[in-house]
Parts: sequence; C-alpha cells; structure tokens
Amino acid sequence: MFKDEADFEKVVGRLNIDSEPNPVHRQNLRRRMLSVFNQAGQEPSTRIIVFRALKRIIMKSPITKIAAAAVIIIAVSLFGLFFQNQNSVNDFSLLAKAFAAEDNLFTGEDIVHIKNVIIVFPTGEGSDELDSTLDFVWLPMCSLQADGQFMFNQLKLSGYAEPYTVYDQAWYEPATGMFIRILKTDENIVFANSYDGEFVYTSQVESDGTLQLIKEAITEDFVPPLKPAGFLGMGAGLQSGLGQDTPMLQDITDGVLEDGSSAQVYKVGTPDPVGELRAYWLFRVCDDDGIIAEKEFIISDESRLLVRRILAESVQTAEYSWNLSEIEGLDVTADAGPQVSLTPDMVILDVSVQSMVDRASFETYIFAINPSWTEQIQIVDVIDPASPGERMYIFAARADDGRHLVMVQSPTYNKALGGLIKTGTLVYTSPNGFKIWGGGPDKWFAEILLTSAQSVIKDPPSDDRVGYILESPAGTFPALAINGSLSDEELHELIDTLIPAKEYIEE
Amino acid sequence: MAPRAIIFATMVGAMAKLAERTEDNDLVLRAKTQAEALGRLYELYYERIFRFCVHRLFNKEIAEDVTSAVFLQVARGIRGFKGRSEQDFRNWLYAIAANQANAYIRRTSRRKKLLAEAAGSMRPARAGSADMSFEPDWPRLYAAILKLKPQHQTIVTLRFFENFSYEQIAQILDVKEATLRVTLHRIINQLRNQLQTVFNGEI
Repeated sequence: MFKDEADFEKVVGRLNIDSEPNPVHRQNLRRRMLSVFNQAGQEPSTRIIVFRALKRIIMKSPITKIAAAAVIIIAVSLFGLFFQNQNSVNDFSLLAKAFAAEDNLFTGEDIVHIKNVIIVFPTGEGSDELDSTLDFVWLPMCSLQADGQFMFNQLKLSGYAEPYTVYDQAWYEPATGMFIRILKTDENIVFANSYDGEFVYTSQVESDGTLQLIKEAITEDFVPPLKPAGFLGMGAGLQSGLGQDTPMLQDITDGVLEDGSSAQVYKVGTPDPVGELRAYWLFRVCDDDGIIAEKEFIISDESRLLVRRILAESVQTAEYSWNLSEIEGLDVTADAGPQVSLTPDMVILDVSVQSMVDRASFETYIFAINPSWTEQIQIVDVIDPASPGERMYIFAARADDGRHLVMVQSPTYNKALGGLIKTGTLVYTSPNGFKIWGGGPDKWFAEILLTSAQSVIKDPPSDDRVGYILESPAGTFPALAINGSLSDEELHELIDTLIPAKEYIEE
Repeated sequence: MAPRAIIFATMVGAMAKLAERTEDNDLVLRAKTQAEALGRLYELYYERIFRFCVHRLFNKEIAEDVTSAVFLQVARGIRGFKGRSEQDFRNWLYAIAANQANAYIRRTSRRKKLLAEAAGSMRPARAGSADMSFEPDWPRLYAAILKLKPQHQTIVTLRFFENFSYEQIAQILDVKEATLRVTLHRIINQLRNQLQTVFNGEI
C-alpha cells in the first residue's frame, strides 16, 4: 500500500489514467462559452439585477445574513414544534420509523441507560460568512416541568479552538416513568432534569452563569411523558413528520457509521436564495436497528456538531439517584463553563398578545381581525438566535383552502430586511402606514416561513405560495407568507387590519 | 557557468517570468470584456480543467459535461470577477470546477453510478494479495477517494493528480495552509483504510 503522502504521490504517479480530451468537445464548448459570454455582455435583465443585489445584501448584511436567519428559523421550527407532531407520525414519514424504533428502546422491565456524545468542532478554515455568523451551534434541550409539560431550552455550544465533547446520559424506568438526564463537560454538569415519582428536578442557569437546582412537587394532573424518546432520544426536538415531499429533505444516501455498520443518511436543509445548501443536518439511521445513530450539523462542508449514540443498554440501577438533590456538586453554583450554556424558553407555543407585548424588544403588530379564510392565528414566541437576548414571534394560521398564513416579526429581520426590500417592488401602501413589498426572492422567503410553521399549517409549501416583506410605520420589517395566491383585495384587507399590538390590548 | 553568467541568466529568467505574468495579467483583465482574450484563457485551461474533472469523476463523458458547466459559469461570471491576475483567475476557475464536481457527486444516484463504473473497471485482485503491500489500480483508488468528504476529494485531486502546491490549494479552497497539511495527513490515513476496504471488495 502506501505509508505517507510521498508514498501516495508515487502510487498516483504510476496510475494509467486516460484523460485525453476530445477535440470536438473542446471546440464546441469554446463556441458555446463565447456565445454565452457575448450574451451576458448585453444589458442584464431585471431578474439578474435583483438576484445580484440580493446576493450582495446577503453577503454584506451586518450581524446576520438572510440565509443564516433562514437556517436558524427552520431549525427553531423543527425544535419547537416537535411535540405537537409526536402523536401524528404517519406511514409516509421517512424518519418516522426511526423515531418509532427509538421509542422501543425505552420499554421493558429494566432501567434503560443511554449515552450520547455531543462533539463540537471549531469553525473550519474553509468557513464562509454564514459560518462566522453562526459562531455557536445549539441543540434543543427539553426539560420536564412539574405540571408534566415541557420547557424548550436552547443548549448553546460556542466555538472553541479545539473540538470538545459534552456527555449526555439518561436513565429511564419504563414501569414508573422516573428518569434522570445529565449533561456534562469534562469539568461540569451543564444540564440536569429528573423525576423521582414525587418531584421534578430541573437545573436552571442563573444570570451569573451558575447552575441552580429547582425542586418542585408534581401537580395533581401530572402524567409522566408517554414517549420518553421525544425528550431523551436522538430525535428529541425534531419534527417527526419528515415526509417524502418535504422540501427540506435534500437527499438520502448510503453511509457508514463509525463502527463500520451501514446506514441511511438523510440530508435535511434549505438552500439559500442563490440555491446553495450551505447549512444542513445529516441524520444517520442505522440499517441494523433502524434507529438514528448520529446527527451532524454541517456548515459549508465542515462539520460543526456531531451527536453520536455510543451506548444503549438495560441496567438494574441508575448511576445517579432519581432525586437530583442528592448529587454532589449540583446543589448550587456549579459553573456551567464558558462555552456551554443553557437558555430557557427557547420556544413558547401559543402565547398571548399581552405576553408578546411584554417580552418583545420592538414594536409588534397584530391582525386586529382574524383573516376570513384562516383558522385562529397562533403566536409562537421564539428566541431569535441571531439577535442574542431578543425574541421573535411567528404568527401561524391554517386555512381550509390551503392558503395558510405565516408572519414572522423578528429583530434579525428588522435589521436584515431593510436592504432587501429594495430588490422588490412596492405593491401597496395601506392607510395604516404599512407598505407591502413583493417580488425578488419572495418564493424562497415564503418557503422558509411556511416551513417554520409546519406543525400548525401541516401542509408543505405549495408552488403558488407568495411572500411579502412588510414595512411598518415603526420601521420594522415583518415577513409574510401565504401558501397560495391572494387577490389584491384580500391582501389589502389583510394588511389594513394590522395594528400595533399595544393598541390591540388597550382596546 | 561563471558567476556573472549565472546572474545574467537569472535576471533574464526573472524578466521573462515577469513579462509572462504581465501578459497573463492583461489577459485576465481583457477577458472580462473581450471574447478573444477569454478564448485564450480557455485554450490555456481547458485541458487542465478537463483532466481535473476526469480525476474527480472517473467517467470522461461526465467530465466533459462538468467541464462545460465550469466554462459556461466562467463565461457568465467573468465580467463580475474581481480578480486581476492569472493566479486569481486560476484559483477562481478551480474553485468553480471543484464546486461543480462536488455538486455532481453529491447526488446519491450519480455517486452510485460512478462507484459501479469504477467497480466494473477493476482488475481482479491477485490471490492472497490482501496484505498491505498491494498497489491499487485507478478504479480501486477512485472508489476509495469517492468515499471521502467532497472537499477532501478535491484536496486529494488537486494535490496528487494536479500536483498543486499546498499554497495553491490553500488559495483555491480558501483555507489556511497549516490546516490543509493536517487535513491532508488525516485524509491519507483515511484513504489507506478505505483502500483496504475497497481492495477487499467491500465497496
């Protein structure tokens, strides 16, 4: 074989490869190329101008790029809306079997012990602006509350000079529903959650970065989670209904796991407006047991995050007590470490207008009258990962005629979309001061928005979807998508009902 | 050669290189607006890009298609190309070629087709040759390379098939040279393991 590079060079040098070009192809291509060159020299079309302007804005936009925001929003939607889909896994879902198979792990008489490693890779040298925008990666982390509901947290894993590992262990007793989950770096516990039959224990990160343990007695209506894989498994936080027609599913390939066993690899992501898939997830489902063995987040062909299951076994006893307060070092002030942190309430489903007004850092708007063709609009309150410390709001409503509505108001959009509207066309100015901008990358935008609210609207984005960027009187830029066409009258009527959320509450 | 003659020869050589570079630089600048200059760049690079594509894609017909895509992209984009020197152009051109080849390979069905073709071209392995001393033929080596990450495949091709320096590859892929060296070292190890698998008929 070969030992090193020099050896390999010699091996390659001895290969006999036919790379002689075909003169006919050479000549024909030359002619075609020069023809294309001459055509490109003519006045560029409006479409090309818009396209270039868009790309320029994406590449130069401060803090975030549209593409980055899109990636984030999609990932957020996958995370936050997972549980609503838990009981609606359909036979056509490509990953549904993998999720179901994982559920089977958490059955039997013995305690189930699973161990995953979360490996965070430093930003690659080949990274681009998108990568530098996302200077951290994150995972959804669900913690059970005393009322049996889940809190959606963001486990934020900052970049570091060298790869580092977080160890994720869980024990679960199928007969009682008692469980314990602990995430540790080499040094510290960074997350813990357990249920001992009477109390729920949750770690909470304080403002000074220390970890506090909260112990709460379960409420009367508390029921242990029926599907532990939904919050302890590899699929936790992910939408289970990834259908064949999901636009985010880019590819399914054969792959190999680290132990050499074969796997199916699902590539999930959304291309940016110029058609490049720069950030995506890979899910590797083991052929032997049909369970997700790995999930990996890729940016610009560089792996940034790898979660790998390294152990799933039955044991007689858990390594820790179900009662987390008995764990030494987790009573108070355990330093979570500089590169790993937990942000609570990443997604809060179905919040009130009052809650939105109280928490938003910018002027928010609401439709004073629910659109006639949709069901009641739901408001989802989500961390805006590209604008640290701020929240964004996803309005989503399903429509019987398929024209579902999604509107996103986000600090990131407010910063990024101002320049983008210049690539579109002003289609309407409402008496309430709102401007509607259309054209440009509206289809792309609409797909992102509609995908972000899948659990509410349930249908994949349609071909005739439309997207608009709104310019509010307060100078914010909500993004609107309709999963179908609207008449001018319907569009105008809809926008005319937008009022500041504060006014809505006062009325 | 006398010292004076050596100095003279060195100066002549340097001047010749300078003249060549200046001409190339002009060529790139002119190619942004003049079809004739672009045609000359095409003649300079067609064969190199085609060869690169053959090495990345195994199949000559596919390599022709991808080569076409590369030069058509150049034709559409050269007016907006920011580079000025021949080196800038070469880096840009190979980056396009690498992306086009990777885009082709990323489709599973296509990768399977390439693997099948490579497998079909393999010479039968010698009996008892599954030791570490065997030398792979091109199909076996290609099948092993195809198992690498797309960017790693590009690195292997540029380094060992196109004989680019680390510095040149680093420029094309916009990575640091030191990182590239480390990466390549890992790739070689991975490739050795892959090859053993391929050689054992487990592709």
